[in-house]
Formats: sequence, structure tokens, C-alpha cells
Amino acid sequence: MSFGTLSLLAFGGGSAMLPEMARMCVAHGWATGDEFTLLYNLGQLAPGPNCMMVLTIGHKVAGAPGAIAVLVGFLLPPALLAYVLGRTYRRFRNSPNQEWFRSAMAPISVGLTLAGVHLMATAALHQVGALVIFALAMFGLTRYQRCHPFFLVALGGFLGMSLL
Amino acid sequence: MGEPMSNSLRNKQVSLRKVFTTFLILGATSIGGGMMAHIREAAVVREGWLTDEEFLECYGLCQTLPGLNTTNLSVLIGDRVAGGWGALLALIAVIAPGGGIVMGLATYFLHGPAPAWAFTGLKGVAAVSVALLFNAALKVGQKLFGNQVDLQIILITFLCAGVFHLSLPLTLMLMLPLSLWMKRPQVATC
Repeated sequence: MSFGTLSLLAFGGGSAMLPEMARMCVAHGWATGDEFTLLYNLGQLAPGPNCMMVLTIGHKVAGAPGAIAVLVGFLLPPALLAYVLGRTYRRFRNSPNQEWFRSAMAPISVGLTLAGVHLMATAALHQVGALVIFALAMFGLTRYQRCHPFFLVALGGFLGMSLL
Repeated sequence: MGEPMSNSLRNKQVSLRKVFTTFLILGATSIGGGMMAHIREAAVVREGWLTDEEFLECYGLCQTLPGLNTTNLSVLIGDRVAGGWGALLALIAVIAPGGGIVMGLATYFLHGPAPAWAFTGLKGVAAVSVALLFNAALKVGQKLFGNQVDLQIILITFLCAGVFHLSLPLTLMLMLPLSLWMKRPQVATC
């Protein structure tokens, strides 16, 4: 399954590879464009990493073995890489070069995360109701730091159903 | 302070069962993107497995790696707190609930259109996710915002990826050398 190669190309977050994934699925005749969009939205509804919808494509194409193949092909190669690199990385954790790399990487990570916030905000916050929910959640997060985020998510979902 | 443990590969010894249940709950409760924020809440705030600096270090590493950031992050954190088996269990636990639910939803919805409430509810969830991610970015970056150089790097990265929509590999290829140069060790210059 070509999902393995795709996942290795997919640097940083699944959204970057969505167009490529859609193109590939249609080209192989695994799913039509509409089906792909539907499956993508379903993936958003489910908890966990939002790319779990790749499973459904595998399932659609080849049944349960297909889903397992996708799971292994899609998740395992990068996970193994992360595992090995994570260990190597920590083995040399006291070298001054690594200190340097770390201090250089930290602000980039924060900048990238903020860019992700911006991206999600432009997609999600163009209704007044959504802005209200965002403001409420920000307030809740700064005020009640110990509150489990799932509370906020559930509340947001409920408010969304009634407000939007 | 956060004195690095020089010889040990692990941070802390956490039981495998604890790692599994923590990531299972994470996998089951983090809806609507911004999962990095959920992982930080669990690993840094609630369980205290890592400091914010260590979390940022893992997360930064994940961003330079291919694949899904969140599954990679689970692997790194699982390995840190409970070794190789911890990594494997964290990976399985974090994808299992969502995978199961998505399969269920798909078999149900591929036979008919999804109801409207599912999508309005999802919009509400998405708004909360933005807040969660924003909050996590602020917390993790807290110490960096006060530093001129760090702040500049944060802003340029934000411009590259957020405003000009450069792809991630391209942003990294531009920013990593720049950042390394800007943060080069201050050796005695002539």
C-alpha cells in the first residue's frame, strides 16, 4: 500500500498531505472525491489523531485486512523512525551542539504552532457564535487550569449545536 | 532545575498500565484537532511526566520528523517515561479509540448523509480546539516570548508557515539554518 510512502512524505501534521492523499485515492479508484470529503469530515468527528480516516479508506478498498495494512503502512514507519531518533537524540543530550539545536528549534516549534492556530482559526472562527465559543474556551482555560480539556470540548460541541 | 539526566535514557519510571490508560483516554477524548494541546495537558500538567521545556523539545523533534506529529509525540513520550514497551503501548492506545469510532461512523454514514447537528456541533468543537492550541502555544512559549532573538524567530516562522503558507519542509529548510545562525553559541570574537 502506498500509504507508507505518503506518511514519510507527510512532514508535520496530516493536513499538509491531504491534497496528495485525495489525489492518490481518486487516481487508484479507492474513493471518489465526494466520498473522500465525507470521510475526512467523519475523521474530524472522531477523537484521536485526525487522520484515522485513512483506516476507512483501507477498509473500503480491501475490508478489515485493508484497514490493518493502512494502519501498519501509514503509522509504523514514522513511529519507528521517531523511536530510534528519539533514543539517539537523548544519548547525545549533553553535547553542546544539541543544546544549540534545541535552543534553535524551540522558537521554530512555537512559531509553527502559532501558524497552526492561525490556520485553524481562519477555518473555524468566521461566525460570531464560533468566536463567542472561542472566547469562552480561552477564558475557561486561563481561569480554571485544572479543568479537563474534554469538558471544554464537550461544551463547545453542545454550544455549537445550539448556536451555530 | 531541569538538570538533564546524563546517563539514563529515561525521565521517570511510569508503569506501563498507567501509560496505556493515559494515552487511551487521550485517544478517546481529544476531538477536533489540536491534539498536541491535549497531550501537553495530560503529560505536563496532569501527570507531570515532563517539564514544558522537555515537552517542547519532544514536540520540536516531532516537527522535524515525517508522519503524524501526534502519534510520533506519543511514541517519544511513551519511550521517555516507560521505555520501548511504553512507546508501543502509547501508540496503540492513542489511535485505538479514534480508529474504532471512525470505522463505526463510516459504515453508518456511507449509507446516508450525515445529520446537520453533527456538523454544527463539530464547528463548536473546532472553536474550542483553536483555543486549546493557542493556549498550549502560549504556555509552551512563555519563556521564549521575553527573549528578543527567540521572539524574532517565532515571528518569522509564523509569517512563513501561517501567512505565506510555505509548506512545512520548506519552512524548516529556511528557518532551521537561520535560527541556528541567530542562536549560534557566543564564542569570544576577535
